[in-house]
Amino acid sequence: MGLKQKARLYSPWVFHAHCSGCNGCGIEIAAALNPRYDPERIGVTLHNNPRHADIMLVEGIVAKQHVPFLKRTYDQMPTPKAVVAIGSCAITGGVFKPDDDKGPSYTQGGPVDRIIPVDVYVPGCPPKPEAIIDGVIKAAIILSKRE
Amino acid sequence: MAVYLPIWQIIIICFALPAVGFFLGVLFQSLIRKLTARFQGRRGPWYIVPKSLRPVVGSTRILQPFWDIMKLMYKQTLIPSTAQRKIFISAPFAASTSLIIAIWFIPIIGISPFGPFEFSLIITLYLMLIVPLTIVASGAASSSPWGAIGSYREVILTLAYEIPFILGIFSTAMLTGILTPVYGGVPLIPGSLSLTDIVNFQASHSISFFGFKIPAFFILLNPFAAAAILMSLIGKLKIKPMDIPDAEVEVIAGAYTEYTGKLLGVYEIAKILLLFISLTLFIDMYLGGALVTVNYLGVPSFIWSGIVFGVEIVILILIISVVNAANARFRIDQAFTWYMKIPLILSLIGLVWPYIMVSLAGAGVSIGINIV
Repeated sequence: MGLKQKARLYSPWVFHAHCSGCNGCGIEIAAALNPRYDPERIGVTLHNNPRHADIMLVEGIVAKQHVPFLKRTYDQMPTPKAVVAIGSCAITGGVFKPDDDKGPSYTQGGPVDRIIPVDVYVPGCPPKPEAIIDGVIKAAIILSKRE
Repeated sequence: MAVYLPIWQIIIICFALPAVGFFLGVLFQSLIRKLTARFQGRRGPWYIVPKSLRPVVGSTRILQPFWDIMKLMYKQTLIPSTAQRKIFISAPFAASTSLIIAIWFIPIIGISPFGPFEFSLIITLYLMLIVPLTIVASGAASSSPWGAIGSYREVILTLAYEIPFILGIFSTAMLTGILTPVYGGVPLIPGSLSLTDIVNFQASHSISFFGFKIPAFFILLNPFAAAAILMSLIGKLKIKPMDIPDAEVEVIAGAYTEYTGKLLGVYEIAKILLLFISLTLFIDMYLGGALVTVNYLGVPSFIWSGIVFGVEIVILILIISVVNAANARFRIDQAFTWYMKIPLILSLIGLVWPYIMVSLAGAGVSIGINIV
């Protein structure tokens, strides 16, 4: 493993994008960053600035009004970057999933991977903090293999 | 007389010394992160990773600040189209370069490439003052509202902590001049502004502290100035109660908000060098520069100096980590008021304390510290 790969794997800085979720996943992300699970052990630190971040944690169905802001935040991150979709809503739409008879919810801007490329999916409603940390490590491994 | 090294050795030292300073600064920063985490009930960067995780996350994270910087060096660098391009790009390099130059003038365990340089204290103070100036300039040049707020806070904080810092430094530099006639030297020489002289003075004179004969540490001869300097260093290093300019939940990252990739990495290098320089300056000024001149137990004196340097650094980092973990953040007006109250008054007491101490000793009053 070269210096570049090692450096990217060893210090993933995360950014928490809250895209019209119910805050359940947000609380679990906060729990994952708490002293009990302390991800600073492996170099993960929370930066509330997309310019400094490597990995974006997205939660929630992305409401239609939220779509341009998520795109813009994603574009503000410098490459290489990775996206982790956290929770059922971010992956499929969850309870807001399109129904065959009635069509999608009128507020839904779509699951996250219709708007920006997603690298890691962490399922659960909400997912456990261990799962979130595992997803961040998997994203860091993906990140380290990027060009 | 001063002994000057040959030119090629000076060039080698000029390149090697900043590298050594950077490496030690990374270790200090890592220790601060670890100790702060432990005081907060966390683990901090793992120094020994459990065996089952080693294939995934590596075996140790002692050099975590170094990996952060390397990661930033391999990232894309974005420059906002509305930024003042020249200032935005040159500011981090100005900060790092001035600190690299400052390392040349600070004796580390008594070693300084330029020998006993005359005004090294003044040069170091000016070079350390360039860093807040570049932060102010870069925040204003980034054309980000968060950067502007960060710059404004940085200006106020710098004005607040520089006054006690400079007063404390000079009241300590005066000690060499005031104490020389007391030790029976040439009377009435002014205080030396050379850090090498200050270190050598402390190593070559001794005091009796409650009966124990120890080197003339200036932290015992002028404790008020030392306390004021330590409080100012907390503002200089943006330790917790004073991390107002880059408070992450108030102003996103302050002046660093628009910085990405390599430019941010250069700023991180500057932060680490500033940590190293500040702690080394404090040790040089107040803790005898960690200079041991006697070969105890047959071990060469520079090894003893290294051990003493390490112990003193760990004590300083412990104090800084406790302060970092135990305090919440001040508002900017509270920070200004606090600096104008406690450290400024302490440094003003420190300014007259040497004269009081010498006259007390002349009158035969015992204050626990006697000049031998």
